[in-house]
Amino acid sequence: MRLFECRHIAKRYGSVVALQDASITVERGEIRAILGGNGSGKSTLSKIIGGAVAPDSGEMFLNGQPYRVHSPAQAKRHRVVFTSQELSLLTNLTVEQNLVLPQIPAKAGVLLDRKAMRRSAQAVLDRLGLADIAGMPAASLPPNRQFMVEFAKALLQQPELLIIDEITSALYREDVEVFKQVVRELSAQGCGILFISHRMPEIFSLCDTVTVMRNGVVVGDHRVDSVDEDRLLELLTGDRQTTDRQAAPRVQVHDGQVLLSVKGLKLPGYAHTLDFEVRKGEVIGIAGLQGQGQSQFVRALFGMYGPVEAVIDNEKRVIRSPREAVRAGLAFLSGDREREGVFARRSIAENLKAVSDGALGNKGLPVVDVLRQVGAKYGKVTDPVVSLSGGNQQKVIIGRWTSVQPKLLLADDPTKGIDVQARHDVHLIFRDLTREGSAVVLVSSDDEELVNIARTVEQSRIIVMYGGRFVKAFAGADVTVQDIIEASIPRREGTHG
Amino acid sequence: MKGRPVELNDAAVAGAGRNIRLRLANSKFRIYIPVLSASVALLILGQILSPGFASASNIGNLLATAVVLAIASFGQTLVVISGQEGIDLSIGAMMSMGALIGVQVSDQSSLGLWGAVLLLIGTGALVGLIHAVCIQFLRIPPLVMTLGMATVVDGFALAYTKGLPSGTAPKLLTAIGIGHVGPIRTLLLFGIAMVVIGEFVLRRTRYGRNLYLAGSNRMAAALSGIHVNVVVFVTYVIAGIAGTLGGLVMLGFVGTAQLGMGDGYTLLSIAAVVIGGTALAGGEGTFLGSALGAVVLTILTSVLLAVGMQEGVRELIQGAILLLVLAIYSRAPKLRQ
Amino acid sequence: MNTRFSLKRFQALPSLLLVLLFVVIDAFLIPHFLSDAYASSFFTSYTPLILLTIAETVVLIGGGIDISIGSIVSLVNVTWVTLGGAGWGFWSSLVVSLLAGLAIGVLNGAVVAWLRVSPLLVTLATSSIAGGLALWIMPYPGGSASANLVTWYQATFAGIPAPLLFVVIAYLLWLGWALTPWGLRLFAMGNHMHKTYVSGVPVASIQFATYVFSALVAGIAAIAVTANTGAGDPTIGATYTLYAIAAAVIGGVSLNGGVGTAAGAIFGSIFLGLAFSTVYAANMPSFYQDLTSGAIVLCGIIFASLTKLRRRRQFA
Repeated sequence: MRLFECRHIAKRYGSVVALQDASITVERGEIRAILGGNGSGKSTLSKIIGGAVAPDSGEMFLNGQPYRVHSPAQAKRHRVVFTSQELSLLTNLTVEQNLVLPQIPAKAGVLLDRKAMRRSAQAVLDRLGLADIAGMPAASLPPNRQFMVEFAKALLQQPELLIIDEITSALYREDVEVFKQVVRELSAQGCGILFISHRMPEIFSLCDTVTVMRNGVVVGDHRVDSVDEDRLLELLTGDRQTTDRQAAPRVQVHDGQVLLSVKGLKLPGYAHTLDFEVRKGEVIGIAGLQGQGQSQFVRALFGMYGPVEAVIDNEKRVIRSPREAVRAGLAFLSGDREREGVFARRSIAENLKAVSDGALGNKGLPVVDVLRQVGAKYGKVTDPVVSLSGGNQQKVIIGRWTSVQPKLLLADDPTKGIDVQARHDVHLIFRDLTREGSAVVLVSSDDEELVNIARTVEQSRIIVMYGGRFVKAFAGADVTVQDIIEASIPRREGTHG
Repeated sequence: MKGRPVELNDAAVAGAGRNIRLRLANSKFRIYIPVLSASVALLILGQILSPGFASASNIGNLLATAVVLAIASFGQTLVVISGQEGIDLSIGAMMSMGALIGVQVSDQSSLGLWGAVLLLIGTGALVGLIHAVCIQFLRIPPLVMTLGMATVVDGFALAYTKGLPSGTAPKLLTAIGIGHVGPIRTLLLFGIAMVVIGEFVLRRTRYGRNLYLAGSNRMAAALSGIHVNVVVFVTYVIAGIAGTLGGLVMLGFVGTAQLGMGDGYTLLSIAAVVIGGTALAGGEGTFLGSALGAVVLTILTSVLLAVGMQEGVRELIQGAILLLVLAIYSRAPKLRQ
Repeated sequence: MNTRFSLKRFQALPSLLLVLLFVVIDAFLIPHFLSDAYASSFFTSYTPLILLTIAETVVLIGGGIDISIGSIVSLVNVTWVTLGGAGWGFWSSLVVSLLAGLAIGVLNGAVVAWLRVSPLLVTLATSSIAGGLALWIMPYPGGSASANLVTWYQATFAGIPAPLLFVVIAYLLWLGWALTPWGLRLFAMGNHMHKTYVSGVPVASIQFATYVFSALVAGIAAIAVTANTGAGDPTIGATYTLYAIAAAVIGGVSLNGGVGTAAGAIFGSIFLGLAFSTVYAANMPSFYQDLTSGAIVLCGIIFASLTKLRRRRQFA
């Protein structure tokens, strides 16, 4: 029996198209995977179904009735529940308070029923094998536990349609087993499940059907027993040429002398320290599961967590702040454009000159030249930067740095949420930088991106991080996604320790 | 840029009508159209309600009065542009203190007017510095910090004058405040100079450009290597100095100093800034806009006075207008995107 | 890591210690400090502040701020006295005055919650509206409140000062949050508006409710003010706003939302009252008193912020 259906859902954010045309059906008891890369629109779709985002067009049906919701609260009344990778836990509440927040038990309909709250919280925590955390502040839990609590919060609402967005990537293996078990139980009770993931093994072991999305469009809908991984990957990437591109001709353009080296670098939240070295003309890709210290690593290098002693160009320097990092020739490119990159209320030119004029007080390269160099498409340089698409905004921010010719560019997931073509352009800019003797350290949550860039540039290494350590390094263009994934996944024996 | 402040003056608007229309069509100036048309409409309304309201001499008076408010809005504009909920609720108290200390020091001590000016620059800078330290390092919201400082400053002025302010404004100040240069009020020229210099600082200096960037996105500014702390410190220090020196100008305009004489300017300066198109979220705004906002508010107040509305009603209407402008221009995005 | 906050921890402790410290100091400094008469006069003076701090605390916990409460006090005060002077009955004039105050709260709440304008500026504008109304209704201080009320307010019952009844009422109203699901939703909203919204909580309604609550409690504070002064004054409430915010901050309420208790609010405001009493007891000339109390308030805010300041991590 059909539980849910949506037809031709579309959504834009300003100039950025998040969803172009998405149609999905879910039967009762069906576990449907939604597979898609970053920026494929899968998270937007889940938020639309969950009532947190308003679609621009399209229609939805639940149990055959038109389903129109104006808020998450209303969706929850229809027992449509979504859990998201952006945790919804409140840091000032305890675990049990967080769990019951959507439906707080009350005595006589008025007074907070603490006993009932504890009882229902404990029941769902027991089901997930999480004893003794009910009374703890949610903020004190490690990230993997927080994701389990997030899942528990959804369970407690007795969903009829449950949307799970990327929860498993932060879970430990044993948690994932519990998680799968509970999802199967829900399915047996007739609950429909949309499982958003990019982890193939989970899709094949858990789901009945799979929808593949790319660039905001549904490009495939299959039973999992009728497809294989290769076929899904093909649908996912669409453009084969980027994955199977011939290795670029490898020319040693620089003598590979050490550009920067640090010893005893401390990352916040980890007890141990790291040693690191990067050579001129080199791209170092930093890989690993989400939240293994990759982001903290580049941020620490940029002086965000306090003083770092580094040798740059054979000169000993202490970097105490991003400002000093910039003065030492470092650059930092964040994937979180909104928070850390773009000056939304200012023009393209002002955004471009933030480092050259703003921080260093020099002219930098001419604005128009830089924009041409990074291949940004724009109208006038005095236009507001937000009039550009996400990819072009990111190019402007890259131009901000290339205009001062940095020695080392640190990039934290810089292509998050931008389209395939722009992403490729960004990789080419990185290559040009290395050809001029600069180096790039690139953190990416997308293993494929790292493999791509390793094949685009002349000199590269890929370092895999786990638990705040470098656990494996691969040289050059021969690395495959499979290698990276294998090196990323934690083993219970603690071989990474 | 040099020509722009002339738009304040009606005669010039008429003279260079076509030119200004052209320039207004440019999107940059389109934001000033509502303010300018509101000013003209209010002038006409005033003329209907009270003949002579739109006479040249009264317009001169109105503009001179507006300059005092524009001065109060000067520091406010900078602080609001600096973002992070930047707001200065001590402006009124600082102006009162500036006038009270100014009159007492220049009248009754050997320091004279210039000594008073130096003293006031020092006091303003000190207050600004304390603001900046508490806001930037102790993370006290600007609203709470400057509101608290306002009571201290008011208390200081009371203690300093022992509750009995005395003396009259030095001649130089009254010359600025109520004198004329040819047919034009000196104060108006002063205001125009202030706007021109202010706009120059905002656009042509590194501090000004970095202020816009830091106001638009503090995090991105810090990550770009911009010295955000310096920007914030300079901003609050300038605002402090502008407050105390603004008090001197107000003293010249009024002639004598009274306790709490500047208090009304706090709310009005915020209203002027908002009406002038400065985004309260920071990172946007101009002195010209705030000055025009001051003009509208001043004309409005005069119209209300002209029809005999008492203080309470005027305050009520000012609050209602601020609320209306906020509801139109300053709404946060919806929770549901 | 979990030192951040838990509802169970007693956040009001530092302010309670401050109160005890000042009680000890004042016991030596102020003659008859520990007498019933002094306690009674203390609470007649500072009950309005206690109430306004509770009002402000609820708004602050919800992540907002209300700087119109002082003007609401003025508005309710002059409306009540004026209507009384015009021959209205005690209760009917009181109800109409409280409704006038509530109207400002409704305006605040509606504009903040549904038009989504910054609470700071909204309440700044409405404080001008309420203050203007108060001045319009009564341009100069005057009139007189019911004599029975004034007498009752000064009295003690079995050693308990009458004004404490108002504190009890305000605390009971606070329990309307603390003991119900709405309290949990309020704290959640103050911590993170969008996460709470996504959790299915009707955040706009709660925001609205906080401003109506603060206006209601401010109205009750105005009853106490009126009973204390026995007259109308259109600017009587002006200074209260800052003191209430300061007292809340000193009482452990976070200006960033999500943290605070009514107990903290009460101790914070009693501390401020004791500090002011100490200043007055020191017999300094009257024109130094404003400066001294202003400095105390500012130092209190700075001190409270210092204790909350953890290792600053700008880029965390």
